[in-house]
This record gives sequence, structure tokens and C-alpha cells, in this order.
Amino acid sequence: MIALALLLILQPPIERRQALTPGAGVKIFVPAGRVHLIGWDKDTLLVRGTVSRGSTFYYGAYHAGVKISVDPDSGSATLDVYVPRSSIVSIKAVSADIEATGVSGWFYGVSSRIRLDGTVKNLEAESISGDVTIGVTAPWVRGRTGQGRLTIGGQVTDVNASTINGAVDLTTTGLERARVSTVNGNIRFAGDPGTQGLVDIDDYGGPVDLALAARMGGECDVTTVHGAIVSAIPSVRPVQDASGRGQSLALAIGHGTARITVRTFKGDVRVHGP
Amino acid sequence: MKDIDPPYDLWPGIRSRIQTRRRWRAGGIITSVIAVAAIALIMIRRPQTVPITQISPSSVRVIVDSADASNDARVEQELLEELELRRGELRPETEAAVRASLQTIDSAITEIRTEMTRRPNDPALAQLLAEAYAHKVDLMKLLANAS
Repeated sequence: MIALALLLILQPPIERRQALTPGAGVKIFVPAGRVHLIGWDKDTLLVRGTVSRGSTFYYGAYHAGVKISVDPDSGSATLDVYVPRSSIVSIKAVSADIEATGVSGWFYGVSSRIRLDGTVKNLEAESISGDVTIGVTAPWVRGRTGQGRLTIGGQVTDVNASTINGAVDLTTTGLERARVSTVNGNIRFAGDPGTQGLVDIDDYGGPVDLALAARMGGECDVTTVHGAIVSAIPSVRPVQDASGRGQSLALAIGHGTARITVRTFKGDVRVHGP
Repeated sequence: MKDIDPPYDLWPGIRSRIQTRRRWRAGGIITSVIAVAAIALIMIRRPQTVPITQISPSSVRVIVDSADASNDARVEQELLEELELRRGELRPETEAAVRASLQTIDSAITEIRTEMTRRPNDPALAQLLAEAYAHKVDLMKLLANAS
């Protein structure tokens, strides 16, 4: 108990509040630790939490914006930040894990794990080596990682997913436009472009697993330069290209104008029916 | 004509016949309802067969302008300069991750370019090359935000 009391004395909990105008910007920099953001219906920002010893908490606020930061660059904090749903958040971390529910904006980490959900206006999430998991309802989402795994689900109209070596797992519904691109990551696409969506999937070296949605209506084109195509649909078989190295496969499914285009250099592609 | 008196009590027999008939009718209705429900359930739960047919492949849609070598060299130079500038600011593991990513992209570009000498008009190759350059630009942006 005494130790706990001492700890609390040395690390006094933080609590700050600021009434914000709609659409106000919220900038946050937390190098390490954990930040949990929650979008709520009040017009006030509330931040609570603790910073580790040796770290300093900075806070500046007025009605049109708030800036929160933890210094130095190695500083660590555990923060819960409640923001009005209309706010646009811009958060940057080094290794701090970021979680957000119902918060729009830009989320960046060097090795941070980023997990976002809820209903948002738009979202951009990036991490060089951490995993990014997005499961939101939104008109526009962009996810980008270097080595980390990128998972995007929920209901999103326009998705842009990009990694270098990280795997991509996309299961989004309501797609009107999706671009999925990786250099060497594995791709699993089980999204639903409906009868009008356009999906482009590019993978240089990783395998692609393509599961066609039952409600899809349109066409699907798969091309590999060196990779093999495996079709789990009995009525559709890949065709060897003229050079004898690559393959292609094209199919029509249901009724509509949706289109999925897959290209790989040496990654294999597996196509499943609904 | 001689009148014949009806038996002393006809009602128990009539009642038993009516009840038997009612039981059969009720049984029939229940059986029909169960049958209809079972058929409906099978129809609902049966996976809908979506028509899938093979078609001839269309030419691959190219959505990014193919990048040129001078642009690639410029992006690479900027990326290396950025890495050098931020060497002191970046954690070693971050720098290692960026260099590993850069190496992955470069080796992809080399292989695609080699293949393009054999198949210069392949739209899929042009698209993959353009995407590889786009990844380099993305990496540069990721790096720029890292400090």
C-alpha cells in the first residue's frame, strides 16, 4: 500500500479537459506506452492517464485545437483520450500501442501496434514495423505498413492497403474502390465489391488468396508473370501464357459490372468461389 | 313395411368415428405444415449457386503510369539522403527495417526490369513496376514521419 501510495505521489495522474468547436484538431505525440482514444458525443476533450518517471507531459489547448505530447523521445505514458466525434485526430508514436474507437484522422507509429474500430469519417493508419488492424465503417480508409501485418475489415467504400513485406488481410464489405498492393507480403482478399466495385490487387512476390463474395456480380482477371494460379472453382481453369511461365485466369460471376484484377510477378494465386 | 327401431344408443359409435376422422385430419395438417416448413428451411439454407463461367482474359488494366528510370533514381536518392539525415534520430531497428524494405523493393524492381527486356509490352509488368516505385515513395513518406 505504501509503495502504491509512493508510486502515485511520484506519478500523479493526469486529467485535463477542453471544450472544442466541431471539427477541432487534436495532435498527440506519445513515444512509448499506450494511448486509447475514444470518440464520444460530448463537445469536450478529456485526457486521463499517467506518464512514466523521467517523462514530461505537455498540454496546450484552446477551443479550436489541442496538442498533447510526452517528452523526451524515449518518454512513456498510458493515456485515455476522449474526443468529440467530429474532431480530427493526428497521433504519432514510436512504439506506443494505439487503440481508437469512433475517431477519425491520422494514426502513425514506427513499431506501434495500431487497432482502430467504430464509425469514422476517414482514416489513415501507418506503421513501419507494427501491425495495423482496422475494422471500421467509413467512406475512406488508407492503411500502410512496412513489415507489419495489415488487416482491414468492416464496411468501407474506398480502401487503399499497402505493405512492403507485411501480410494484407482485407475482408471489407461495401467496396466501391479498393487498391491492395504489397511487394512481398501475403494477400488474402475476401472483400465484397458488390455489383459495381473496382478492386486492384498487385503483389510482386507473395501469394494471393482470393475468395469471391457470393453477392459479387462482374468479372475477375488474374495474371501472373511466373506464379501459378490454382482455381478451386471447377468450371474455371487457368491458362498458360505464350512464354510458358506465367498463367492467367478470367471469369464472370453473377450479374454486374464489378471487377477484380490481380497481378503478381512470382506469387501464386488461389481463387475460391463463394 | 315394418319399422325397425334404431339400436338403443348410437351416439358412442358416431362419436368415436368423428374423433377418429378429426385425429386423421389434424395429423394430416400437422404433417403438411412440417413438410412445408422443412422444404422452406432446406431452400433457405441451401447455398445459392452463383453462376461462374470462364471468359477470355482481357488485357490487364494499367492504373498507374509506368515510372521512368530517372524518377526512380531521384526517389532512391531522396530516400537515401533522408535515411542519412535521420540516422541519429532513428532507432537502429527502425533503420534496419527501412533498409530491409528498400532492399526488398530494389530486388523486385531489378527482377521486373530484367523480365521487361524479354516482354517489353507486357502491361502486367508495367503495372508491377509502377507499383514497386510507388512503394518506394510510400517508404520515403513513412520514413519522413519517423522522427
